[in-house]
Amino acid sequence: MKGEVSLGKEFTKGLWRENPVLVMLLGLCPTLAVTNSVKNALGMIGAVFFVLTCSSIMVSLIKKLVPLQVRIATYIVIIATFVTMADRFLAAYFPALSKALGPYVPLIVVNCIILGRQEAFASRHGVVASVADAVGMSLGFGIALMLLSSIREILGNGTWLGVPIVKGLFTPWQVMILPAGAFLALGVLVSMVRYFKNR
Amino acid sequence: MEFFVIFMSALLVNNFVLSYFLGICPFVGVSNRLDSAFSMGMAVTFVMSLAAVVSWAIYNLVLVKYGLEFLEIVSFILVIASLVQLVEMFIRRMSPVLYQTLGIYLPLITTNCAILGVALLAVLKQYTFAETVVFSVGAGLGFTLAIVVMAGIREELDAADVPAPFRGAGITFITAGILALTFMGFSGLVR
Amino acid sequence: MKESFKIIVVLTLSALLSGAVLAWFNQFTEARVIENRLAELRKSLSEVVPGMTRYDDLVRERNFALYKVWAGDSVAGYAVEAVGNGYQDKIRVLFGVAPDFSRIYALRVLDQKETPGLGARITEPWYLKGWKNRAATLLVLVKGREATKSNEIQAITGATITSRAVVSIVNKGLVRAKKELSNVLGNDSKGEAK
Repeated sequence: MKGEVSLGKEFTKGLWRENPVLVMLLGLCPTLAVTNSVKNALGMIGAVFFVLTCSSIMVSLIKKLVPLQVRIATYIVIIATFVTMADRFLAAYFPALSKALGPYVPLIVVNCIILGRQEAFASRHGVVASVADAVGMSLGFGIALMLLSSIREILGNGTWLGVPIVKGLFTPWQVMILPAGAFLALGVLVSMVRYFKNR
Repeated sequence: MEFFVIFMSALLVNNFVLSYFLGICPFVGVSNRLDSAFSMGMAVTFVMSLAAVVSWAIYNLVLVKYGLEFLEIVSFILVIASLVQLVEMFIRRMSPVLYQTLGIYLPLITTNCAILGVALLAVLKQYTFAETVVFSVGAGLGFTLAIVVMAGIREELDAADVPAPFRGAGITFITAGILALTFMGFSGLVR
Repeated sequence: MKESFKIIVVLTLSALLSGAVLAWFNQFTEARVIENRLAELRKSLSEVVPGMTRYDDLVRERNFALYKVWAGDSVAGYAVEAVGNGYQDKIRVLFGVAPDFSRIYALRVLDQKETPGLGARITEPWYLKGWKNRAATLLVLVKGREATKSNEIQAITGATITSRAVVSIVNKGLVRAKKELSNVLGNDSKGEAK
């Protein structure tokens, strides 16, 4: 039974306790790919926020109309529609960012986070609760990406959002901007999160 | 010659998992045992090639022709989802033995970024039909290579004394990072 | 039966709705996307051929393009877009040549995925300056010293393969461009209406 859903709780769970990236390990493809700079990460965060929130609203609204067998297919069509909108919007108004993010914006459609939230939450709760869940998860996603991209950009390039901040202090570790650095940074970050959670 | 470049690039130089970050979910989850890793890799390679080719056809023969390129994402994902369903039904009917070994991975493959990724990249790079085939097979084999090596390493890690916070995901990613570093050695292989 | 019917209706409806929404949304974005692409091309062309006012597409292929660039009523030069294998992946460059193909005005790197801090430095101004006013003959890469002759390009330290790739791409592009131009000139000897 639904009972009373605490909006605050639905919102905050995505931030830390059930952080989609750092705890549930979902949506790793874009996380690793676009965190080579904070700017790219912000673009991805915006796109995911848009897609997740709109999809959750849509799925929550039509949940009673969709037969069980085709619910996944229907959710995917809904998600794909919003992803296309986000992708076309970026290509039109932020062409440089769109080029930098490349195929990873269209790949949001197979991001486990989005489909996961539709299946696990939006299809079983009202619109307002679904929005709280979506926004919370998006913010949690955002926090994870900001952490990872900041680490990678500062250590790997000596800059943050393109602004040089460690001039002369140390030579940047080029590897952090490369794929290898993404894996290493994520591994350390995930381990640190687990350590603090279990203390 | 160009086919060789495309194939080697997808397999080693720009390995799908270690350079493009596609197919991470199964990479982290399934790669515990060598034999299941190899089976998964083969299943993925097969579906990837099929999906890439069909998506290529849909894009170049239908979408472009009617100016419907904006339907790329929706049509590709629907094609992939349907394809996986069909392949699963086909394998179940044709060879129950094969279904036992491979079949269980198939539902996982639908949301595998690697499958959609191959289709999207082939279109992005404007590959011809033949180039798409070479590219997708190379990508699938590259995925298989990465996942098999990872499984081998993880089998060893299971016996090692890993500090508690690092166990599972943490050490897997760090290992993947080192693996990615070694694959960087393949750069400059084809030029 | 009723279940199957409902399934088909729901699926068809969602597909149609999706298509309709996207077609509608695409109207607004498509124009801008094309505009962006053209603006980017214009910017690059004006950087590699000084004085550009307008241009014509002579050849447009996946890995090669040739543009005829005008400054007012006279031909300012030609721009060649060429692609080749770099160290990591493909490198795409655009360079401008004088109308008589005697020299290269300048070069710009349109797309590259080389190693940051090493091969990726081919996009930096100090490297591109080395491409200003070069002789459009066979270009040669020199390592460890500055370029003295007008057909020499200095390699980036630690990025020999990338540097060599750029030179090779330009050389091949020049050969192809000359061939295409002789075709074009041969074909419409009755005077171009372009």
